[in-house]
Amino acid sequence: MTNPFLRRATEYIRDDSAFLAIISPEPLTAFVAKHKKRALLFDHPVRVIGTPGSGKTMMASLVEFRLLESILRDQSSENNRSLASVLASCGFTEDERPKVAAVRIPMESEYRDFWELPYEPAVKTKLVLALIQARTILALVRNLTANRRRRLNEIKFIPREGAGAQLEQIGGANAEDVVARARSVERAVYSVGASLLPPSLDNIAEEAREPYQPFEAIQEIEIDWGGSSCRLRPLTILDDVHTLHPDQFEALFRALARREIRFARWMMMRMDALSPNAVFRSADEDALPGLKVERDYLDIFMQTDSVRLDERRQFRKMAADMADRYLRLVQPLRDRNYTRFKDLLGEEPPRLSASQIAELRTLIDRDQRKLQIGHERRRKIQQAVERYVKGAKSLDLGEEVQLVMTRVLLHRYAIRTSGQTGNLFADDPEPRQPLKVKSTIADAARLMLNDLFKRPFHFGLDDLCDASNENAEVFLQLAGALVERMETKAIRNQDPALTPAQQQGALREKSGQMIDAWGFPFARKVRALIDRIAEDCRTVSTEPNAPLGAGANAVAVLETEMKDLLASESELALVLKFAIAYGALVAIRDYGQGGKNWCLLELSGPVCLANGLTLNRGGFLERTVSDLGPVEEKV
Amino acid sequence: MRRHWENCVTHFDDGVDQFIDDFFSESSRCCVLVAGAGFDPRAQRIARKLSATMGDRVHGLFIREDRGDPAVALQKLADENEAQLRSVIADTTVAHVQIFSADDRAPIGGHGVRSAVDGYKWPDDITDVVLDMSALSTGVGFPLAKLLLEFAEARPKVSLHLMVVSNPELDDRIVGEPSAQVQFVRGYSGPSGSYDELPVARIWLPQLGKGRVETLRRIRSTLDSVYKVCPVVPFPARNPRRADELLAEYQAQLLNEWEVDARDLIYVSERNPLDCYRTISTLKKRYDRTVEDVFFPQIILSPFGSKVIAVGAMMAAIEHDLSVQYVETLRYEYDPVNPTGTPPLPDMAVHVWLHGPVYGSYDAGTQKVAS
Amino acid sequence: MNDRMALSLLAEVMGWPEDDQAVATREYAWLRMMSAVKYDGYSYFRAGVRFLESLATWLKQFDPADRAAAYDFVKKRLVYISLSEMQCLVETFVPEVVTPHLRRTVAHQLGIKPYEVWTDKSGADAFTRCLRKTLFVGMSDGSRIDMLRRANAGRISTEQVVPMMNVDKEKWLDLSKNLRQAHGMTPTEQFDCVYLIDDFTASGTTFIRKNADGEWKGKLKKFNDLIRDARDSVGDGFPIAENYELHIHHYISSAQARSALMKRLEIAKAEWSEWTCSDYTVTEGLLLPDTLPLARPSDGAMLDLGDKYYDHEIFTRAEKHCREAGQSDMKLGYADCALPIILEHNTPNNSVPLLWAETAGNGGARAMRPLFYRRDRHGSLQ
Repeated sequence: MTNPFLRRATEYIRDDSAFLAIISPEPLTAFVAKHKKRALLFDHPVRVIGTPGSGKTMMASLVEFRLLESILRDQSSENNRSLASVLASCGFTEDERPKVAAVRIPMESEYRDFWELPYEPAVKTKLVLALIQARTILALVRNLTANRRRRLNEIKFIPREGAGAQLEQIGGANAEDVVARARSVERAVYSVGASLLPPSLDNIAEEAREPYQPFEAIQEIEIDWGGSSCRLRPLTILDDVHTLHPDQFEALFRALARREIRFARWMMMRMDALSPNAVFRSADEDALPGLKVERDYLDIFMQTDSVRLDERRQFRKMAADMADRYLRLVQPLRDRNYTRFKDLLGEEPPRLSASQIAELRTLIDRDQRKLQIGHERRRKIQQAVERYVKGAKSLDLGEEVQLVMTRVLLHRYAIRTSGQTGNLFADDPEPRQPLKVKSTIADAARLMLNDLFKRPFHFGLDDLCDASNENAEVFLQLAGALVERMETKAIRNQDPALTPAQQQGALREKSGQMIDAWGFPFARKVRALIDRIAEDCRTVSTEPNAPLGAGANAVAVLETEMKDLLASESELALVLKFAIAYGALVAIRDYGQGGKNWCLLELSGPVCLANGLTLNRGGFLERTVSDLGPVEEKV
Repeated sequence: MRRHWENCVTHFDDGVDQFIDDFFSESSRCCVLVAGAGFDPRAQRIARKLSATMGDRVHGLFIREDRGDPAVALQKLADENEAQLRSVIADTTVAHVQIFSADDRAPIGGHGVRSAVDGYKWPDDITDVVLDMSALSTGVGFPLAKLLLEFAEARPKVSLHLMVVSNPELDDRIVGEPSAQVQFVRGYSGPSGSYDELPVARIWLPQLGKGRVETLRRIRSTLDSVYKVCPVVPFPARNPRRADELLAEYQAQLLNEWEVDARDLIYVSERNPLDCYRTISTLKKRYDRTVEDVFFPQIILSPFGSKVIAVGAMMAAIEHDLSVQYVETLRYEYDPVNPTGTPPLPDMAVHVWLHGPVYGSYDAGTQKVAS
Repeated sequence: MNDRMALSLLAEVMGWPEDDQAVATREYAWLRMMSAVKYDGYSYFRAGVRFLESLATWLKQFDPADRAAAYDFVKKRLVYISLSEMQCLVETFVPEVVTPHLRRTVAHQLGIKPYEVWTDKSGADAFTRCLRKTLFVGMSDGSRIDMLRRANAGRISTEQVVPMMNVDKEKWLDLSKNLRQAHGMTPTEQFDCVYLIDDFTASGTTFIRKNADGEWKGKLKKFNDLIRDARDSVGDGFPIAENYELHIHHYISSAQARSALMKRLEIAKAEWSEWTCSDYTVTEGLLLPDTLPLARPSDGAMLDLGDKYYDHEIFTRAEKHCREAGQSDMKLGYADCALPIILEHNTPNNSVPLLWAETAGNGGARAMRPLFYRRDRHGSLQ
């Protein structure tokens, strides 16, 4: 029995029905349906930008015509109905009829390889364009004839006004001829690119040299749908265009930005495809000189720049939905009638044993003596904590949390009254800045309890989602580790639901493994940098006065310094770039705090899990660029 | 059809040295040794042996793979190796091959190989080419082998020999940091299957190597329409538990991610590349027959781990036009400290006589059973 | 999910902690993988009692404190040769052992180098003839003659393969007739080369040994007698040449067995008046490293278990046999080989008895429970 959470989501694409059962349409809703220029997404070229594992490929696969047709044809399941409504909200369908015929063309390294051939750039670009277009036509036809719904001769390519000459080049209007021509172009160009010894320019096969521009020739595709004619807008989705050489991408992008093209075209790329600057999401960058975003092309960022809290909420919803879908495939859990993933993650606050509580009390008494704080003041503080607890929503405010909160406030009190030469006879001065009991102090208390007594800190579905950095792949990996333990419990005839301690154990182990398995460029340097940041954050987070509230999980550098660093070609810039692209760090640009403008480098969820750091955002340590580098290697 | 490949003349270990003594001592032999001049401690063995036997009748074409950011210690090792090789073989050319593009760090080593071979002036009286794969990476060694094979097959008198000095236990201690890009080895992209009339059905043969889990996961994630995954593991091997240990390292992938059927594991010899060659050839024949007219069959190899097995996979890829997908190595690290503390096992050497006049009548010898 | 019962039982037996389930989760993954890939294929497992069930039963015989060492041994030291691995050894036999040897033979005949055999037609033809004039003889069920035939279909004729040593006169004549009628053969053609094939040798004793009374025993002696007798009874039609070459091939051999075989063969050649062949070689598909047998200090924990859970009955059962091998107990397996090896179709008695021994535990001894049942030479389960 395999654990479906641990298979990569893309693995399911092989089997359409399995794929539809697990795919969550949330990214489409979030990034396409709600796009502020949604109506133009099929007219302009579009860049779709996301981190690895952010669900780009899943999204592209879901809108391919083959699947869209399956969804529309089978509206019996609730699942398909919900998918259909999302497709409609994105403009892919209307009145339960298809409007767009989309195909996904993975841009493997073979396209990049063309750039190394010994020809002029213009020739190389032409070859790649021909290859992309031929493959788009072939993929379209395959999608339209999949499911055996229609034959090739029942597909009509509708040319653009005045595209007579180009129509000739693509083989005419007859679908069989169009396919035959596309196939011969595809083979000819492929063999040029794949040859170990490329042919001289004059020896390139004619099929690969002749003009071939179906994107400019074709406006629509006509098929029969339910007994009446149906016009579709063709859409090609070029996945992973970041594999192209920058100059090659520029040439391709310019070619695809031509206004007469009626073919919709989306280009999906990974974050690290951009210059370090773009990875860090500088807002003031246009893709290419002369091309303006929103005028000549549109961007879809698969990590919205909107309020990050909103993003978290959105992801929690999507992830929970996805987890429930996957859960149905785990037999031992299904057998026990578990249909909601949330129900399997116990959230009952953990409790310290009586002896640990006693130990904690001793610790606080000792602190109180050391800080020379009187009983009366301590009583006031305890009362303030109790008052706070009465009005708070959180369930995790038991005795041990209250005790540690008291300890934090004692330390804060001591700091705020130190050096106060008030009334010499008053041994209990009021602090200049009154003590406030806040939720962040409770958060800090839980982190410290984890540090002092290993009391579980990370558990529950919300923590799991928040630790996934809005990344479906990371979420599934973490959830998969939990499911493995659930299965173990089921095998051992126990209730498969996990206690907080079990969740934390599994999440910490899995996060550690994920970090150990990092195999991207500069991974070792990234690991060393991350370890250093995590250690510093941990030190600060466990200081008894909780100087940063809930704790720290980030460092921050002044935005001006960061700009200079990114403009340089230094290794540190590269290390940071890969750390961000592969989800070790998250960069938040232009973060205003304390009258200064910061660039925040936040540790990713798995790193926080592995190091027992808070998942709350915003706690950071101030650093300079020189503090960050040079990065030592961790061997 | 290179029918003799399933029965190539091969020599092992001391037999390789004996063969060199015996064959290359003939004064009519003129040989070009093509080899890697990297940090790999095995870069010199074959060169020294040939030079001792042939003197100035052996010429060297050494490939130096420039990765842009090598560990300093390894850079020094490579420089020393190169200097040694230059002193061992008088007529030596060292060709630098840039593994990564300076513009975008895309792996382009395969193209550099083309230039290196193009620019080399072959001796007029050449009779033998020896390709020593010991210190060459997949991205360079594979295209090189294909180019040299074409070179030899176009010349009736020229033989091509493959030699590999390997040490599986030592190889485990060479750690590669993978680049970001999954790609075909240059010259090994196989047929363009995805856009054929018939739907493509792929069989992926990942060769399991120690410490390559993430790399192979990444390759798997770029492949769609995979009908089967058949991991390749070393057996027979000098450590009879080696295959089991690799399976344990990959258990999560085998069980959960790739859904490998236990019957689909492929065991091939760690010592003789021809075993891997024959096994993949057989698989290819059967698979083609199985899916004929229904699917477009595509076999994809991903050689990691044992170099000897990789050479066998390479031969199969050349002969049957199979695809080879890999991830280039950004840089290597070599941990000279032996983690197990056991005394190191000796290097293993293998020679495969890939092509040459010695096979002139291979097909004439009726290989069929006379009935 | 039919393995749930057994997995749950294993966790109980091993006492894997229930709090975080980390150990059980990790071990379950490994157990499932190895059962599927290898262990469940063991030929004496039956539906309902496969590897996991056997492992649980086996571990239960040890005191709880000893179980970790036993489990650890299974995980880190056990060498199980699966059917696929065996097949690999069978498939490499002809191309990697027979072919190079024949090339040397032909080269010797023609006065050329072994690598020049295929250069021109005369060598290539001679090679083909030579291959046809090689006889392959299976020495036991483990010889996998069926696999060997399939792997070499089109290369080797079925008329040059003998699956068993019990060959009657008719069969000899038949082999002879087929050989002489084959393409390019003369009417008096004979086999020049004989390969005796067996699956496994750990001590070499089954193949050739001298007992306490100075008598020679073993499979080679049997074969030698067979040839001698058949030559007399069949006469001219006997298909094996007078001075044939004998090649002894084991798919798997221990280092110890290899040197023992070489030594004993040398003595036998000198001592046997009826030594029927001219020359002999010893080869193997997989040579087990000499570090494979269990040894202290690294295997101390498992060897201690072997002492503690030992029932001397396994010695008395085969006392004669054991004494011949110079043993006074069976703690390390036959001939004190101390191997951790299992073959998919049986477990050799040279492996540590903890793996295969089954006793009733009479006379106050502990009853031994096997992890892999073993059938002895007489077909009864040990």
